Amino acid sequence: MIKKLLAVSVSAVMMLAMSVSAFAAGSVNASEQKILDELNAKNVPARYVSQAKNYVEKDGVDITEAQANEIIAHIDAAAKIVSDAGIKTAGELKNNKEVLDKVVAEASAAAKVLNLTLTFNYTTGDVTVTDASGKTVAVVNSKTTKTTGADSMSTVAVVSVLGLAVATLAAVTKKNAEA
Amino acid sequence: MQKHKNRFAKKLNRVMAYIYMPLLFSLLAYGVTYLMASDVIDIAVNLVSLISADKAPDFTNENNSIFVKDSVEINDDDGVLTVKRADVGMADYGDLYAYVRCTRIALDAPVYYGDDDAILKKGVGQDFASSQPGFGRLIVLCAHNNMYFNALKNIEIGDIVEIETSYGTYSYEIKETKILNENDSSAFDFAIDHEQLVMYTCYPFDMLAHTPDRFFVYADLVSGPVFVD
Repeated sequence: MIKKLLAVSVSAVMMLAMSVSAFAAGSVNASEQKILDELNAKNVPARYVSQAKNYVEKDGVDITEAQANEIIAHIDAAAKIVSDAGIKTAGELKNNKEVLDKVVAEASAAAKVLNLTLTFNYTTGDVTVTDASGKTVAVVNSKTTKTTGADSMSTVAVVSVLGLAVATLAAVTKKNAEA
Repeated sequence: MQKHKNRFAKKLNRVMAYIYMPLLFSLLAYGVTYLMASDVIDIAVNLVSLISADKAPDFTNENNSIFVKDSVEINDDDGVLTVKRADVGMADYGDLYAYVRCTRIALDAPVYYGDDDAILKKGVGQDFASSQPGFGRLIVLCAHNNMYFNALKNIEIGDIVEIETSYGTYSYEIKETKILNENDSSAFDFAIDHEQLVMYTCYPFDMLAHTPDRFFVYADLVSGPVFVD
């Protein structure tokens, strides 16, 4: 369980490790592979590892060994924060704002080093990373699937009006009956 | 005097009923009609707006398209189709980079990299953590059940789904379908050891409101260009 928790807490930081722009052409170099291996070794959820792989496979992304080491240091720091707090589940982390803030700060610090901006949505648990130009380079949703039902806004509006009309009709009918 | 007032009020009520009752029923009728034909109405309104616009429409805020049909050279190396890895363009978030098709069920939709609400209004969205075709990994596509993935209700085991990219067309054979809860983490596995296409949409298909279930379709890669250095 601790492994799982550590995986969740450091995943945002690890994701950032994959987000450094440089000059390679769509292949995974040794430093990047080192980070991917580290991710797998620490049982980081496969969704995050996959997100990381996507990024390092992009053209123009090349992580140096120094950068990789720095990223891994941030991961260790985030993991230690969680471990020291005695948090054992993702739910506990989410409910412990003090620890969560520290983990997010660690991730944000890593992002700043890489000239990236990390945004953590405290309501949904979603993580978004953007580069200096504002382009989204990583998105990690906390939910397994998206809402893919009918676009319900217009339906809700119309049904609301219909409901109001029916209620009015009922009220008028009742009033007439009483009269 | 009071009796006279009451009689007047009753009369007024009866007269007013001839106004508000037809209005209310008209409202109900229009509402129901709108619900039934909202999709067609939206298309018609957009079409009229396009025709009657004073100036050319501005599509600068639209998602970028990196899909260019047959733009990458595909070689035949002793019966194996290959494409240079360096020629494979990697999509950014929101890019339209492919089309997903299944002729038998009339599925033909654009695929955008990303799956937020704005994207799902335009076509099929792809989980940003999943991979583009050809990388030997998981591909997760989703779309609204009353739009692009409504056709999935007719999918059958053995059907072939194709994803056409700028660097070639990849074919996948449907192996399984499942109905699972929206939060079921076993729905797909990002660590899978082979290339798998997963498509999902809300279930039941004709539900207008939010549904907690999803209809999942699983398909394995059958053919497509292989990357070479």
